[in-house]
Amino acid sequence: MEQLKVVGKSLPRVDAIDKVTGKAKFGTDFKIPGLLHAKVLRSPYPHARIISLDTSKAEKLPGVRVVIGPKDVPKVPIGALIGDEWVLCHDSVVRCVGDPVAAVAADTIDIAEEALGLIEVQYEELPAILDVEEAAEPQPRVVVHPDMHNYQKGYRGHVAVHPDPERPNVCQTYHVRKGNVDKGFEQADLIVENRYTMPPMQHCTLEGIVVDAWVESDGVLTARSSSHLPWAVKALLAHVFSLSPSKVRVLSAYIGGCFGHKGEGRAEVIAAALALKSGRPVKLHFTMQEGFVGGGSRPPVITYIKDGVKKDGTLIAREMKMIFSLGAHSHHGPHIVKRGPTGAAGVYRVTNMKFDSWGVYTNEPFTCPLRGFGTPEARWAVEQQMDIIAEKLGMDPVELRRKNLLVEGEPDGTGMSTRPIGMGQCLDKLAEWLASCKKTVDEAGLWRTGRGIAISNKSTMLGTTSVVKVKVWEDGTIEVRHSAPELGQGINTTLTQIAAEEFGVPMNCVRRVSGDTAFCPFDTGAVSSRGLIHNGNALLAACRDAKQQLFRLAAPKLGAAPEDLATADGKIYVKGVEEKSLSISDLFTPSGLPLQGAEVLGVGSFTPPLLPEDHETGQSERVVFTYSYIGTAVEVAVNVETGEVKVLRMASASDVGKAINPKVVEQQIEGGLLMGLGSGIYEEVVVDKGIPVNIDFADYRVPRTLDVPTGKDNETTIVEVAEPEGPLGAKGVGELTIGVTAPAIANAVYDAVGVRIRDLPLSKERVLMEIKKQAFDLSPKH
Amino acid sequence: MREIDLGYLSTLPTRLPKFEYLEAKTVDEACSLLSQYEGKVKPIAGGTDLLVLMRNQAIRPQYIINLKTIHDLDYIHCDDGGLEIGALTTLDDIENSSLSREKLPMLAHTAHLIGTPQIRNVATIGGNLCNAAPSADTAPLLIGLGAKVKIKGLKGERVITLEDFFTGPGQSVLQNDEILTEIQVSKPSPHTRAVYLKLPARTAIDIAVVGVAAVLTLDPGGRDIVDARIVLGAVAPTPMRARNAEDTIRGKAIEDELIANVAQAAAEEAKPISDIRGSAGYRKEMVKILTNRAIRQALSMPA
Repeated sequence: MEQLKVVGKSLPRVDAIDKVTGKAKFGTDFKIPGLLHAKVLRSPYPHARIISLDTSKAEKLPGVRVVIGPKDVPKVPIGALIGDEWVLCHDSVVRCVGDPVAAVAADTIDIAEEALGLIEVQYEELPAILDVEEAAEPQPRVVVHPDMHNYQKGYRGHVAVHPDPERPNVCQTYHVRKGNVDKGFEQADLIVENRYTMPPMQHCTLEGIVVDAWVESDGVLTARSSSHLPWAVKALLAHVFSLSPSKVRVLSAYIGGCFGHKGEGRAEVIAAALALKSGRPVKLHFTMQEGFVGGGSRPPVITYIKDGVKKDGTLIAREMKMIFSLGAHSHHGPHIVKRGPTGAAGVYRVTNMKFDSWGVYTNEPFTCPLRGFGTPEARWAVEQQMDIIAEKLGMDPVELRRKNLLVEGEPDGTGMSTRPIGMGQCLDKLAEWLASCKKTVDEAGLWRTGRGIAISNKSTMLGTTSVVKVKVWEDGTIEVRHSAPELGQGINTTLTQIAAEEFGVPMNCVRRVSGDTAFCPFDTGAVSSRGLIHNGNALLAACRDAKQQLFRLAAPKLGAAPEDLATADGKIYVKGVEEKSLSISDLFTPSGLPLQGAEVLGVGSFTPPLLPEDHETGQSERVVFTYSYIGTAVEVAVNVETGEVKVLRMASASDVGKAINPKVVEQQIEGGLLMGLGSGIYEEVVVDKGIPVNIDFADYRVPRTLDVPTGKDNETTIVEVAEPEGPLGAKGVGELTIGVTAPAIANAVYDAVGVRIRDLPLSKERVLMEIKKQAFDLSPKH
Repeated sequence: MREIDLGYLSTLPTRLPKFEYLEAKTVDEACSLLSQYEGKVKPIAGGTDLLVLMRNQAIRPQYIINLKTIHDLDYIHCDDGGLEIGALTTLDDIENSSLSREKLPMLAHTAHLIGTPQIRNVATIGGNLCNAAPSADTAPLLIGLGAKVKIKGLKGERVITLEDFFTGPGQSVLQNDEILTEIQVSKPSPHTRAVYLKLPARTAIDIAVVGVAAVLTLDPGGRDIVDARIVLGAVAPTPMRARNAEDTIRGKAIEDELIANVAQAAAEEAKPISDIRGSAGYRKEMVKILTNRAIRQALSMPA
């Protein structure tokens, strides 16, 4: 490849100055004349029947413009994969705390809130099922959706759903079968079997879910949405309100963090219903607490895992079962249920595999995807198993992992041929870092130190699309029109770098137009760490298309064939004869028209096709597009008196294919690792009898600067093993980074004090309980 | 577990409940306003506790009286080696003023343990006490130091020990027309050593899951403990003195076994509940650990 001039450099983010000076606009920054403010009335019960709902008093309150209840909205399901959720509860049954019951739009938010208090709802509480394993039984006490088998497919419907016919709350099943695990276990010299759990985790985005919705004079329903799936929101609104897709337009502003939290459309459908009924623009902005209750948390999961190993460390059999509690409404959950075990079938070579995964309805609060989509859940179990096995066999944990690591071209558990994999180099880096750690001498003190590692992959899905357009203006400006939401991950910057590289121009010659489904081309959304791969590939194709158009215009003027031309610095020249050149502006008339045709507009798209997979065995030629890889090593200190765990230092190495902007990649890595640290030590949405109780940042704690290693104590290494189908070799890095910290910490805690914690988070109390081998008195309860 | 009101859960308000805002220019004015709107009013200083309670609709006062508009309650005076601290003094001032750092360094250090700089810049010591949280960080140390509080009301002024100030979670002896105006700490004996230790609930800046103050007075030779106060936070309805623990150590010569016994006694006296921040059992265990550490730290301090 030619020398890269722009790509691969840590250039400042294109939107950095706008963001730090407050010029960048986020969803809450828009003032719309005549705007109404909305609030939602929600179920406070995990399961109840609505006996009566009276909105008449609320409607009479001065300043209230519209009140809607279940009768005022279409009875069209809004679930993404299963039609198991409605705009407002459609059948008078609320199935979880937070289920929306009614909504108000008023002149001010104060009036809207007062109106909520005037809505009279009488509930009859119904028995609720909260324990996921109880819910998954063949004859559970409560069936959350008795009509499940008559439900429509979800509005996205892009993932196959296979409920368990024997278990009425199990709405999704997924299996991987390879070899014969029973035979594998017979041949094993060592069997290690454990149960691991992860609690619900909240995304804690700086910006809450926010939407403005209004109807334009031409009847187009328009929503400015904080969703990371603007095109899915467009489809959802058309679906719910029976509108032609051309009658729906979705705008995106900058998004203040997302991590999977904002894509379920639950706010958008309510705001749109209020806007349609009132004829006025409506803003619905979830509070931070509403994010917990009405947005959703990462589904909690229980993982059973049994490993069979030969004396030399060869993994010969692995049986794994993951039980995801999806709450009352599955939304994207059935896809999480699949992708967790899929990822776990990668990384290591295991001759015999039997993986099962269930998505289960309960009356627990809303869930939604959170950065990693099942992968961190699987790593929490697998990476502790690897350390347990290493210790029992007397092997070095790095060497055990290296020994079983898949190599390029080797089929993984799903039969997919392993794509180029840089995990070996990542392990080398971690081994080097671990060797540099000096064992602390003061092992008699209260703080004991320990070290641990964990590794992970993260997939990017198949069957999604990005389209990008590139317009070349008469002054040589390159305009990139795309729909990749900018939610802090830096996609605006990396796409600009790719376009600048392709045209041989500085960054400031490239501008972006994005965030409007009326003018920008289709993009599936910021999911599955796919944004750069898909938009980058589509952008490269669009750039090349636009360049061909320029070359065809320039060829007669330069007396050369189009294929002999190249462009740089706003000039088009004959390759090898650079003095034979012209300026891009020479290809346009003084009024800005190209010499031929209407405009120079390149179009590119990228859709790696979805390949079939066998439901019974999970086998597929290619189950995902590709995998990125990461390994992390941590050094912790554990206080043997209090159970406190501190991460002193950490190091990570990530195979991201090609870092388009290494600083942006580093930021993704550090952010993800620290979010993982939060899930490891602090974070858990505590749900008591179906009610999430710690729904604010006083009691739901995320790590702060004081709690995390920074600077030289947090070393990141980027490994570049090119993905041949990625743009310039790049892969995704967004989700990859969150899943390794927690198991690495758990392994380090074991190294420090010899206790194995299988339930997250590693709170002081939990760690001390294990150290002292005694449970603490939990009564009296407040 | 924390109780969440079902009405609150179903509406999750964006805004604070509505209230009328009043300002007091003098202590007397504050007292008459408090009396006038009895039962419907809350005084506000820094607001770091009050606004959170209002935000979560745990309380819905109709009137808020701003006390920060009273000009003469923000001071630290040294009198006879002791300190008089105006109730409106911010925690940041207590942490950083040269007077408190010199005369009561442990109080300055305790103020530093509360929240973040942003919180300490507005939160006041009077507010920390009047909020009467069992976990209030300044209370155990001040009780240990025998601090008194000056209370003013329509009927006049009274001075009581801080130990007698608290009556329950969020409850104190303050009458409806009264405000706390001053905290008085007498000059400790030259042989007194004071320590406050806190175990934050989760991250470094959190509310205490357990707090322990140890205030020990040694004989001039530094061998026997002449007097001792062990005061516990976040393990009872109010900050509490561990009197059995104090009795165990008072008058005794220092030795390892004694310290272990005192810590054990304090743990047994504590009356914690289980909540989202920790179980009762864990809290008792932490009382033992922190008491032990606090005594050792106090004893290792220079005279």
